[in-house]
Amino acid sequence: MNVPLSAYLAEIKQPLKRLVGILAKDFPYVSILSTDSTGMRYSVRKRAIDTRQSDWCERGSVIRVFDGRQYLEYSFNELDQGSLEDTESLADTIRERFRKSSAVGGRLPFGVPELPQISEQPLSETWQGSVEVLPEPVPAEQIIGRLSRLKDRAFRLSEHLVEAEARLEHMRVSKLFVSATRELEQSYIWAQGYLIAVVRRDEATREMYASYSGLKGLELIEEMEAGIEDTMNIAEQLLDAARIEPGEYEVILSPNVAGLLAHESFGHGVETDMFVKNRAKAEEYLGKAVASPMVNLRDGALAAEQTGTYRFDDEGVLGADTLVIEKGIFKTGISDLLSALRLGTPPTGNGKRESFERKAYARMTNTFFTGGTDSLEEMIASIDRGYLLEKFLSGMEDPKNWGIQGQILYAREIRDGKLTGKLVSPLLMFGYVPEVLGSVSMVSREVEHSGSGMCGKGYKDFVKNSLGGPYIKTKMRLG
Amino acid sequence: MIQQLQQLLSSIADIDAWRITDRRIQGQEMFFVRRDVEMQRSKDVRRTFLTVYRDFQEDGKKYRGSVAVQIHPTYSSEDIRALIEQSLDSARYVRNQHYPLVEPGATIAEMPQSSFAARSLEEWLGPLAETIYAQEEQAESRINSAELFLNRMDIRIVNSLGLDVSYPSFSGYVELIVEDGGKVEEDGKGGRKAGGPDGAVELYRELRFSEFEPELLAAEVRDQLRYCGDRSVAASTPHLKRFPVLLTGDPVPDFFEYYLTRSEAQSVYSGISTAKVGESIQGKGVTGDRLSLSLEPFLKNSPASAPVDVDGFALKRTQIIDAGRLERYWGPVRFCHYLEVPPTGAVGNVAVTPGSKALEELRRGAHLEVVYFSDFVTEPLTGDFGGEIRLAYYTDSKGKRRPVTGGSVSGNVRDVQTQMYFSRETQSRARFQGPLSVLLPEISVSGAVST
Repeated sequence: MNVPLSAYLAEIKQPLKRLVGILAKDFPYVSILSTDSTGMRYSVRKRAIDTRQSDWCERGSVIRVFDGRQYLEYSFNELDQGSLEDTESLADTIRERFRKSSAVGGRLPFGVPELPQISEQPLSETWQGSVEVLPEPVPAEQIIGRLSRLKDRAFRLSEHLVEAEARLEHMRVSKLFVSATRELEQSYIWAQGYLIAVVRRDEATREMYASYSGLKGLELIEEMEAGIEDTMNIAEQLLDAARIEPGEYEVILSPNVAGLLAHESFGHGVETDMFVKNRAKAEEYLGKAVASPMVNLRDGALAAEQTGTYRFDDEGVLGADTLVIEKGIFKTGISDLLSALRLGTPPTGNGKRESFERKAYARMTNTFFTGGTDSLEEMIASIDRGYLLEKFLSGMEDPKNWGIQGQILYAREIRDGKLTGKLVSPLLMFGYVPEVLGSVSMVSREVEHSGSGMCGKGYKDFVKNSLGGPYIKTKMRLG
Repeated sequence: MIQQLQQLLSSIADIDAWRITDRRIQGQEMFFVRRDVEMQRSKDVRRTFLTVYRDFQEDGKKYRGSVAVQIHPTYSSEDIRALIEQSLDSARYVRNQHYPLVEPGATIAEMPQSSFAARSLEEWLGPLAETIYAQEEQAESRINSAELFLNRMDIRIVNSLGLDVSYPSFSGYVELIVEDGGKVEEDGKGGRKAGGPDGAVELYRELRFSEFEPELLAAEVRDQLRYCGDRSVAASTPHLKRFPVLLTGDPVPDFFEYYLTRSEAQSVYSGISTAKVGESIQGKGVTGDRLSLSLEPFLKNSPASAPVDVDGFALKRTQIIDAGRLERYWGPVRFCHYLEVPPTGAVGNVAVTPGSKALEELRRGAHLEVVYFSDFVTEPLTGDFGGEIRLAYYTDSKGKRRPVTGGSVSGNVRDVQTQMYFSRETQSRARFQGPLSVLLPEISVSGAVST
């Protein structure tokens, strides 16, 4: 079913176009991004249920202008009927805001670099995503009921379960971008679900999670229902998990952990606003080998259908499918519009904001290693002493020094070409990006994507995106 | 907006209780690359959240269902009415044990006025930026980029019992990246090669504050510049296997999060925590320092300071752990009601009493002092902690101290809590006041190079 467009955005479109026209008399470039994104989050635990609007909900606007030298932005969300009818008055308020900002900047002993003006090709597009089951009309009773049954099943499956949570979140993202030459509108739905289990035996407490996501509606719950037994089975196994002996190992990264590697190594590392700041080591490797010839890495709103997908970004640039690494060679970075202007490169549709309240940065969308020709069985058989890293908890980039850190929930031991059935948990994986990617020696065929998490720029400005890959064999330090 | 909402709520049947939290936010932002202002942003936004409650009984038990929604300023009356009615319908299926809302009438402490209240937000950006950049002059390392955010929030909490509380709050945030030319490490052992495009290294830091305290801000920036210089000449962390580790600065508040979760009413109610009031929260046979931890509504320079919690519950200083003994559980009205203990409210700041030893004493003997991690994580549920080292100081058995980078530390709070020591020297950070350093007995240290 097609995702409906926002009635609110349709209502304000003409006044916003008038506003752009009025401000364009004072500023060489003016654009407005307006959002109306809504959704719910349902969480069912052993003894508590939580139902609330998703934290990703937003409704507001951000105006960007170019004053001939620099770009200024103003975010607001109180746009009453009077403002819509009297756009001249609203324009006065906004002009006054920008005048104050310019005055502050002008008084300070800092430089204001002359930036080029944004040049856009005329474009008018409307895009509606589609899902099997639109979540909004479905009564809470049905959703809470299904999540409650999942939670109850979890308790039947484990005698050591202390707490379980079944969580579902769905969002309808609606955005409108208006400038002198562009009028873009989109509406699409993503959903994500979590199964979380806390098990305890004696003094040992372990937590297991499984996540599900996609450009999907309530059909996602079926995937959660299908995954509950595996989740509880691993939760029980984690109670017997040992600590890893720190050292360098041959490892196989699951699609989940390979995605983390893609994200933290040549995801953050090639966000071109980092190039502008001279913060990315990758910049000196453009056109050079950075990985084994088996490694191909893509990013793009159109590169996969997951939670990083959209038709246009938050700066009115169409989403793309960018080949970042081709056969081990670093081909191109991923770019927001202003960084592309500074660098003289084409924007890649990666300008994303946490919400209308925040600045746009170069951000990842759907980032993943592409598939190879090996099988997981062949990869396991090729390792004498190593680990299959299954599931990550978190990661952190280090674009300038090209370090990578990943917190891994658990890994499976491999000895003499076979899985021993033993788990280690938790563990850290870390290494130097070119060494880790340069050591990739086998890549499996099937690629899996996961978009249930969120990504920060440093520790802030969180956005949705997805990551993924096939199984990948390499060497890493574990601790 | 609130008045309009109250009128609407009073006209809707079946609503048993409600709470409105309204935040008006004005913000000024400035983005620097080197010493250039790349962009300036400002904002005027309003975030209004409504929680509606519906009471019901099943099998003789009382339940209180709730649904929380955001009421955008551009919603029409019809939009809001429809949203409330839909939320009320959904609340019938949210089967939570009944709990009360916060009653009005409690004495509410006055929010100390921030120095930022004296001028408009725009006027503070200059002094903040100048304070930060002035520190470059005496340092070899330099500032790569900085992002400044300064917000004023006017918060009002109203509920259907007549509670009506409001207070202002200021929040400053700086993301600071410093860099140093450094040198490319050539240790010949396959160790990491420090340095970016030009052999440089960088360090990332977040600074949070609620007051204009130029000396504190300057000291933080100077420390970061000095640390970055040390990172630029750091050797690879050796593989120390099990070794004493001193956590200093940023990782310390994260380390103590474990005890906050263990003593939280919600964790106890859900069964995640088994901590018992009156018992040692550090286990048996403590030979190191005993933990004393309190919740502080007002911590100087902390953006988390507030006179009330999100429910509007009046906050006051509360001792949670005293000399290693759990004194009481803490949490909002709902979960404390479930445990039948007096509520403390969800306080945003934590204070930990300094320890028995001076930092100089803690630094005696071979140890690894970690001051920067890529991302130090303590899992509050399991007590597992660890992170990759961005900068540490390795002191060998001969007392020689040198900066190192790479490798990782990992351990579990339960394994170290009887033998850990806190420094007498303190630090104040957003949401935390307490020891500058914590010495952990031998934990796993994985080196940056193969052995």
